[in-house]
Amino acid sequence: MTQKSSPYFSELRADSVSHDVVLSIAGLRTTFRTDAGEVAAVDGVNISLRRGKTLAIVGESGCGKSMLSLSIMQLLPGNGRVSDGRIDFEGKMLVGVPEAEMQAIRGKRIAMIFQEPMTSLNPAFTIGNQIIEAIRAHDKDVTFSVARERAIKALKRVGIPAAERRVDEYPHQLSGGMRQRVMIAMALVCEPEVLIADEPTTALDVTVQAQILELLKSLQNETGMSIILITHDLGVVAEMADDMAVMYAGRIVETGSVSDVFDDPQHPYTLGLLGSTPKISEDAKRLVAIKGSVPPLFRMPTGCRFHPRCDFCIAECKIEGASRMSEISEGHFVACIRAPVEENCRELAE
Amino acid sequence: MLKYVIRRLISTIPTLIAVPIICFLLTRLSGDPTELMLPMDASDEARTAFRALHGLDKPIWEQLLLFCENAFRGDFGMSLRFGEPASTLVLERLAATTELAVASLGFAVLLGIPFGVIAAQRRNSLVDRAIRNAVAVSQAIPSFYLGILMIMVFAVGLGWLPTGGRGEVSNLVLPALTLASGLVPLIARVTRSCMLDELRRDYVRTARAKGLKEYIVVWKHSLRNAFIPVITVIGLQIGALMSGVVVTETVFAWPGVGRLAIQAIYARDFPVVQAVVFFFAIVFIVVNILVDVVYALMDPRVRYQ
Repeated sequence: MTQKSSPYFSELRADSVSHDVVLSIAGLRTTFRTDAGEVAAVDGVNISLRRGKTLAIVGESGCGKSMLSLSIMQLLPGNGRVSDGRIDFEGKMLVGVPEAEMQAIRGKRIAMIFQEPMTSLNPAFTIGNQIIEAIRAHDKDVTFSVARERAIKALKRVGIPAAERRVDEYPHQLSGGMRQRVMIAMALVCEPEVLIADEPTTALDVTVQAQILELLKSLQNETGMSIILITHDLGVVAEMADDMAVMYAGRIVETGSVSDVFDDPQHPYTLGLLGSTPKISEDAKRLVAIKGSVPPLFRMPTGCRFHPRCDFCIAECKIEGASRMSEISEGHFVACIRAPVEENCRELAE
Repeated sequence: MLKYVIRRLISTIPTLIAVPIICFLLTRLSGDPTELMLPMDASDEARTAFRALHGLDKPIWEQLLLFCENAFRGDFGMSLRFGEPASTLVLERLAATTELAVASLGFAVLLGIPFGVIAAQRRNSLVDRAIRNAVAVSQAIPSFYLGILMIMVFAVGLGWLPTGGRGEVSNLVLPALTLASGLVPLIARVTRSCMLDELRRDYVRTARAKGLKEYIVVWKHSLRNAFIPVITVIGLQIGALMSGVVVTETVFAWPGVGRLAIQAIYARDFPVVQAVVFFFAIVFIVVNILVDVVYALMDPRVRYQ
């Protein structure tokens, strides 16, 4: 296992299957047909997910992180499609795979949980039925009663009390936290290699959030699955993730291990995100907000897409190629020509 | 659930009392049946005897009380025209009407729901547009005209089906389709718009993320939820179905309550008119309760309230 051997250098490694990488994405471009023409919600993304590890994808709402995860699952809304790039999953190229083959992968090998546990379960069926359905969708030989036993076991594993009784209840009889547990039970019942968790705790109470994260972590230790965690909450990243990728306006701007990025943030956007997160250890300073807002998809700035909001912006930032990735330290990549900012822009930073 | 049904049953009692009273008073407004039933040159004695036989000589409030008392026992009096008990006449015909109504409801559901689902699934495609246009045309054609048209094409022209009457299953096809033609568009439309809503819901994405086949996502997960408002619409339309029955039965010479009602009204056959209205009201009440029960069965959130 070469843990630190730059799993993110996908430009070079996209075609070579590395042993510790479960899922790698290279040059992914996801576009949507709109009235204003074709727009790219994801534009040239490279990421790799290491086996048994958690990769957090961080960014503001609208940066394309959810579309990135739906691209992997090939569950994009009707007007969206993956128009370029590769998604390699255990040596299999997922882009362009026939729908029937993708159905066999979804839920069985790559599972997904969503932000809204209140609406993500079908109100008309018992939770047991919905879990049993997930089991039997991938293994028709499993009898109903065996599947039911497995569903109860899955509910117990995610910490649902009185699972034998709860299995026959309907979603509206459960609280939000319980429903998210059901979603996790359903996602993990076929023991997938990869779990994509799209903002799994955003809609939940803070105390419940911690429980769900704890649960995901212990299930990961138990099963050895890899997790892609989509979030805008840096606290969740610090808690959960091994690696992280910061996404801005459809592109990855910085990626590396969580400790690298947190301790030595290089991209001005990452700096801004960290600066806008309250810390309990420090004196109550004023939080620094990133000025401006995310540009609309159909009016993307040239060059580095962050340049209109960036304090360190120079003329070169506005021309094409300004967002090329460079390796700052081993496995730590940043898409900023001014990196490392603390050396190049000291006078500005102060 | 049982409690719920019982409560619904109790709440129908005022309706059951009000319906025959209103009906009794309305029929009396239409004139004296003696003039119609007896020949023009009938003697005054004969007229008086006829009135006495049917209780028409008593003051109206006394007639009403007597009527209510008898109605309570299920006796609506003798038909002035056929000389048989009115309730027997109506109940005999009610079986024929129910047969027709159930068959046309079956056609309407079997055609309307798949049309709606397919149109929603392929929104704005050629199929969707074709279904929407067909539905609009079908809704625009009056049922008596469609009935005559179908008789001309399928019965007279092609000779596949009989022109009217009751007996074989083949007798049922044309009147049931005619009656369904008004319902199919409505069911298809409501199903389509409900399915469009349901297909956007988060649970659909979850179902797909489980790796379910698309037809299971659509026909099981979404349709089950879209069905709830569709049932409400079907229940409301059973009223329209009952009035459609009157026209359709006349066109196809179907021996049902609808035709009986028309004949009875023309003949001022009060007991029969009253019995028809009373039994129609009961059918309405039963259908409404049934809709509520099906509603509760389909939607667990209603069931557990």
